[in-house]
Amino acid sequence: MKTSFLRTARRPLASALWVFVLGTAVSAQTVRPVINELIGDPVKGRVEYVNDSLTPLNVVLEAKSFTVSETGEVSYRLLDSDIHIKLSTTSFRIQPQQTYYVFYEATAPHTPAWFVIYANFTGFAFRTAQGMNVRLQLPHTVYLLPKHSLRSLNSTSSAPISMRPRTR
Amino acid sequence: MFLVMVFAAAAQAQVLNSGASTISLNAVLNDSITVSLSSNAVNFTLTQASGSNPGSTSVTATTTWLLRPNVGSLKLYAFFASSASALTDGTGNNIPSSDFQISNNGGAFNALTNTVPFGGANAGLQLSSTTILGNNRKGTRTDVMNFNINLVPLPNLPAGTYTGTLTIQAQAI
Repeated sequence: MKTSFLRTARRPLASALWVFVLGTAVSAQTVRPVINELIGDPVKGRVEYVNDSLTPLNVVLEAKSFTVSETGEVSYRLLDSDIHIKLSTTSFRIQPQQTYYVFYEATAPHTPAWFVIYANFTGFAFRTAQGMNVRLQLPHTVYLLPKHSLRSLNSTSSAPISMRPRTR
Repeated sequence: MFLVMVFAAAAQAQVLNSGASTISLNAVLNDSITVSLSSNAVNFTLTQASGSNPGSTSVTATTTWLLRPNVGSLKLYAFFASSASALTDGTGNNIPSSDFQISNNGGAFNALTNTVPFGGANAGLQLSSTTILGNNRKGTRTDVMNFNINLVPLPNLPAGTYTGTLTIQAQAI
């Protein structure tokens, strides 16, 4: 009888333990796409955030301008005043095992232009009252490209390259 | 003879073909980055003026990526918002980031004293840098972080509960 009870109880106990282990150990967050190259005025884009963990998470979006040095070092700054971004939301909550889409429109007086939207994931289930909490930031970089990109970049002449097909 | 003519006409009608129609197909597999942290909280039991105050657990950051050729490198950073107060008791007593150390993948402990793209000046550390080439546009990397607080420079740190937030940041450029 006792053995039968243990055998019956083992499965739900194992399931509960597995859920607990997953909930505390696995906390994966995804951003896609990482880079969006868009043409238009305004450009319209979409970024997707995935919360693979078993707890809901808070996400705060932050748009920044950035510069890349000749050595490849990136320095971020406040968003340039001439770049205008409309985000469908700047903060939201992703439920466990769910995906959240953020839509945006961006304009810039001169192209090419670029910026990055960083997503700050917070609100992880296990928070410590003493010690250190760890949070995560994932990037989504947007490049605004000119409509007429096929120009001679190295030539001193500014004449565009003709792409007109030959006629017989 | 009449029946033969009727069947011949019907057979001719059957070989008429409609104009060809096309269906446009467009499939997109987006590039992505996934970062998985094995834990989101670390506790420390501090000993006064001791150089060895290890964290209660290590944190494993598993980074998985699927990238396009326009990404040249993927980096992972750890940083605090301020170098002066990585952990604080909220009453003006702080543990600076220079006394907070991370050992990545069994390497030496390094204090968070570098200026990284985000966070406070002199409050960060680059954990990893992966150059993306043709053969690793899809990949995975694991960084096992062990933590330590060095209290040798802070012999007079008062008793209290010190808390802080460490941010892990991925950067693809």
